[in-house]
Amino acid sequence: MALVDSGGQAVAECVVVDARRHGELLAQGIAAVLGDAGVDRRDLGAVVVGLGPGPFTGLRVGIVTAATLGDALCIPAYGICSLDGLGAGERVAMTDARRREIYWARYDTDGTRVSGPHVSKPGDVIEQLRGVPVVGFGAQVHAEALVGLDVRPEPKYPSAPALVERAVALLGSVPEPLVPMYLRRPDAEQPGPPKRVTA
Amino acid sequence: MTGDEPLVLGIETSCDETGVGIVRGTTLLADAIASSVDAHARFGGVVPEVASRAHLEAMVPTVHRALETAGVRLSDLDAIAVTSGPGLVGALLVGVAAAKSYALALDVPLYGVNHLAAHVAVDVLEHGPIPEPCIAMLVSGGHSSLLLVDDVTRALQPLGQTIDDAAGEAFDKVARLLGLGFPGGPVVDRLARDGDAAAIAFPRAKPKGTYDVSFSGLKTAVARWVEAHEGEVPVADVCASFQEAVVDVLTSKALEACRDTGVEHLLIGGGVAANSRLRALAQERCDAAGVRLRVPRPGLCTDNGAMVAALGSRLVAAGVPASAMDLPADSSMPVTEVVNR
Ligand SMILES: [Zn+2]
Repeated sequence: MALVDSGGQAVAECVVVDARRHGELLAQGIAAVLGDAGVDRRDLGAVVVGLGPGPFTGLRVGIVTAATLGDALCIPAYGICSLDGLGAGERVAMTDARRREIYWARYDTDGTRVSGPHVSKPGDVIEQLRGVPVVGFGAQVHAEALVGLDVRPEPKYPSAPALVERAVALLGSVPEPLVPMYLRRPDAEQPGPPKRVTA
Repeated sequence: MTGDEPLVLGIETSCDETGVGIVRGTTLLADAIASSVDAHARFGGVVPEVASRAHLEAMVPTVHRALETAGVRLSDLDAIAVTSGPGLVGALLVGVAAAKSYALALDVPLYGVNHLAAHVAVDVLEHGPIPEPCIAMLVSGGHSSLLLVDDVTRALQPLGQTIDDAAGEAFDKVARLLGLGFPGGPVVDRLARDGDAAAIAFPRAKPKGTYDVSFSGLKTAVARWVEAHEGEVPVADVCASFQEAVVDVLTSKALEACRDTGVEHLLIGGGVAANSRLRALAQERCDAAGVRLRVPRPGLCTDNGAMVAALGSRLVAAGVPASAMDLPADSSMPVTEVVNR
C-alpha cells in the first residue's frame, strides 16, 4: 500500500509480501502509512485498489477494504487491473496463478494494455510472447516452461504507487463498480444422486 | 458517544448470509441480510468460494440498507463489531476486512467477536437481559453446541457438541435423500406437520456421561429405511419421525445439562432453533422440569448482523477492551474466547 500526494509522488509506502496474511495486515498497513506520512485519513482524496487477477482471498480483502474505506470517507474508490502496476512501457506482465498457470497481460510501447488479463498455461502462450520483455515474479516461477522468452529479473510485483499512477487519469470521474478479475469459476461440483448406504 | 447508549454496527459473514445489524444499547434498529443460499442450492450445500464472492458483492449495499432502515449515518456509529470466527475463513475475511476499514475510517473501536456468543447475545434484543447463568443450545447447519453461559461478554464454557454432523446438516442430508432440495430444515419441518412422528422408530444416540450428540447414525438409518421401503416413500412420515428423533436428542441433552448444573434457564439459538417441533418440544420439557425457556424469533435465530451488533453493544457497555487492527479471521475460534484480540 502507498500514499501518494497530488503531484504523484509517493509520500509513504508499506510493502509486505505475505499472501496468507493480507486479511490481518492490510488495515494495519494503511494506518501505518497514514501515520508515517502524518496524513489524516479525512484528507484522503481517493482510494485505488488492484482488482487482480490474483489469489481470490487476498483480492477480496483488498477490494472490500478499498470499497468500505471509500464509503466511510465519502471518497471515490478506483479499481485498476493489478497487472497494470507491474512494469512500464512495452512488456508482458506475468504473475503466478498457481495450478501450473500464469496470469498475464500484454502492453504496447505507450504502456496501454492491449491484451488480457488472461489465465493460461505457460506453454500455450510462449509462441505469441516471443521478443517482448516479460516482467513479474510469475515469469520466474514458471521460468522452466517459458524457455526462450525475454524474462527480466525486475520488477517482480505490482506496486501500489504504479497503480495510483494508472488511476490518475480517472480522478474526478465516477468510479466503476469494483469487480474482481477472478478469471476462474469457483471450484464446485454439482452432486450426483445420493449414494446408497445398503448394498 | 451520541445519545445515552452506544450505537453499534455488526457485520456477520461466517457462512452464506451477509448480515449487517445496527443496535442502540439493547434496541434493534436494523437487521439487513443478503443471502447467497440460492446460489448454493444446486450444489446441495454451501460452497465457500461462492459464498465469499457473494459477501464481497453484498457488503457495502447491505451496510447502506441497514443504515437507511435505522435512520442513522456511518458517522453516528460508536463501535463496529464483526464475527471473527468460527466459520468459513474466506467468508469471514470479507467481513473482518470491511469492519476494520470502517473502524479505521470512522475512528471507532473494533470488536472481533465469537459467532456462537453472538447467537446467545441476540436474545437481549427480543427478551431483554440474558439470564446468567444459562444453558445455551446452539443448533444450525454449521454447529451443534451446548454451552454454559456465566457472562456472555467474558467466556462461554463448552459442555458438549456434535461428534459428527451438525443438526442442520442432518436435516440437509435427509432432505437430499428424499429429493427435497437444499436447505433441508424448513421443508422437512413443513412436511413433518402432515406426518406421524411415531410412524418409524429411528435410533436416538444419547450416550450417557456426555453432552455430546451424534446425528450420523440417524441419517444412515433414514437412508437405509428409505432404500428398504417398497412402494412410494411416505415422505411426511419419514420427515416427522426423523425430525422427532433429532429434537428428542437435542432437548434431552439440553435438559440434562440444566438438571446437572442446577441452571434454571435454557436459551436456544441457531438456524435449527427456527424448527417448530424443536420449539414445541423444548417448551414442553422445560415446563415439566421447571426450566425457563428463551428462544428468539426465527429471524434472529438464523445468522444475522443484529446478533453481532447486540454482542458488540454488550461488550462496549461492559467496558471490554476492543480488538487490535491486526485482528485475524479464525475459522476455529474457541467458544471460550468471546472477543478476539
Ligand atoms: Zn450460526
